[in-house]
Amino acid sequence: MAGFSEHPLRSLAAWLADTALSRTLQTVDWLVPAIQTAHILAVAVVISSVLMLSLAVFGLHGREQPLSRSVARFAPAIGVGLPVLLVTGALMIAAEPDRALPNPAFQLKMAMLVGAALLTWLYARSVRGTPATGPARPLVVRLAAGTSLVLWVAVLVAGRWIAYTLSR
Amino acid sequence: MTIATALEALYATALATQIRENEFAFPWIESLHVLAITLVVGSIAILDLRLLGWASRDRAVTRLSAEVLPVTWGAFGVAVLSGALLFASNAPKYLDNRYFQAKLVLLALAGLNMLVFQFLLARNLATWDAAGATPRAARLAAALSLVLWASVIACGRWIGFTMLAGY
Repeated sequence: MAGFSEHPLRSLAAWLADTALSRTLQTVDWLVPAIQTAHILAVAVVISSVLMLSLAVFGLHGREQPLSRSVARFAPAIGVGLPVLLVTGALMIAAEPDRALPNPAFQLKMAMLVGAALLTWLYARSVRGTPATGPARPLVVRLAAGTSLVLWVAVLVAGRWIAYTLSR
Repeated sequence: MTIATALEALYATALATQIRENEFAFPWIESLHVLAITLVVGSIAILDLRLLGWASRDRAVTRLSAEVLPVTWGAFGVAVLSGALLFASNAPKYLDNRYFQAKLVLLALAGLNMLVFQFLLARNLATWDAAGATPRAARLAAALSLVLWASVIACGRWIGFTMLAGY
């Protein structure tokens, strides 16, 4: 497929693979697994915080306290985890640009990531000021929490599939 | 029957062959395994950070552990089951892998740490509900838990790189 190799993302990948950063990442053995370990630890922080927040929204946790307190507890953790994910993720792309950029699993992951992050931010912000206690949570917020939880899980799964979706 | 022949027998089972040879079985089980382990580590970290007094200080320890530990144990069960399936797909090779061996030892230590916490340190959990009242031994167990689980994740990742399977 001659034309396929001219795909702009492939040209970008080829350029990126030739940078000093990429060549360091390619040659030092332990760098990529170390970065992936940091990435998974940050995933653990984000996905667990999202789950805890969702359980509070569904009324399964912390029913005796306002939802805003759950947001105050877990939103900052997501705010710390997400930048770590972006930086370690960017380094993984730099290490093997051709494995990621033109890979459909990677592209799907990025699209879902934007949706998941945006939806979480929106619903967390909408309940930040709620003084109400008790199990009554607005249906729209519960729907948003459920959808974002599913999206975050899908982001994680798509991330693992990058390793198995051949892009060459 | 020696361990070697037992591992060979496991390798030859229909289930192991299916996981090894089916194009989708391994990645799907692995995805589930990663999801489970991130929930184990993330949820236990919430409790560990609370015990260390670094987060959730306004939440009583008893309440927080009642919320967090069911998630931890549920996810841990899924992680063990999915991990056993991945192991079964190529048992002799995994058992031969240094990082796999290290991961098993670290898991045992993390488990031991949890048992010590649950049955020795946390017997009077309610008496240290307030932040800042956590006994020194419990804080040590929390710090140990964070380090051990992070090491388990690191070993898991290094297994992928040294087994030359999907990484």
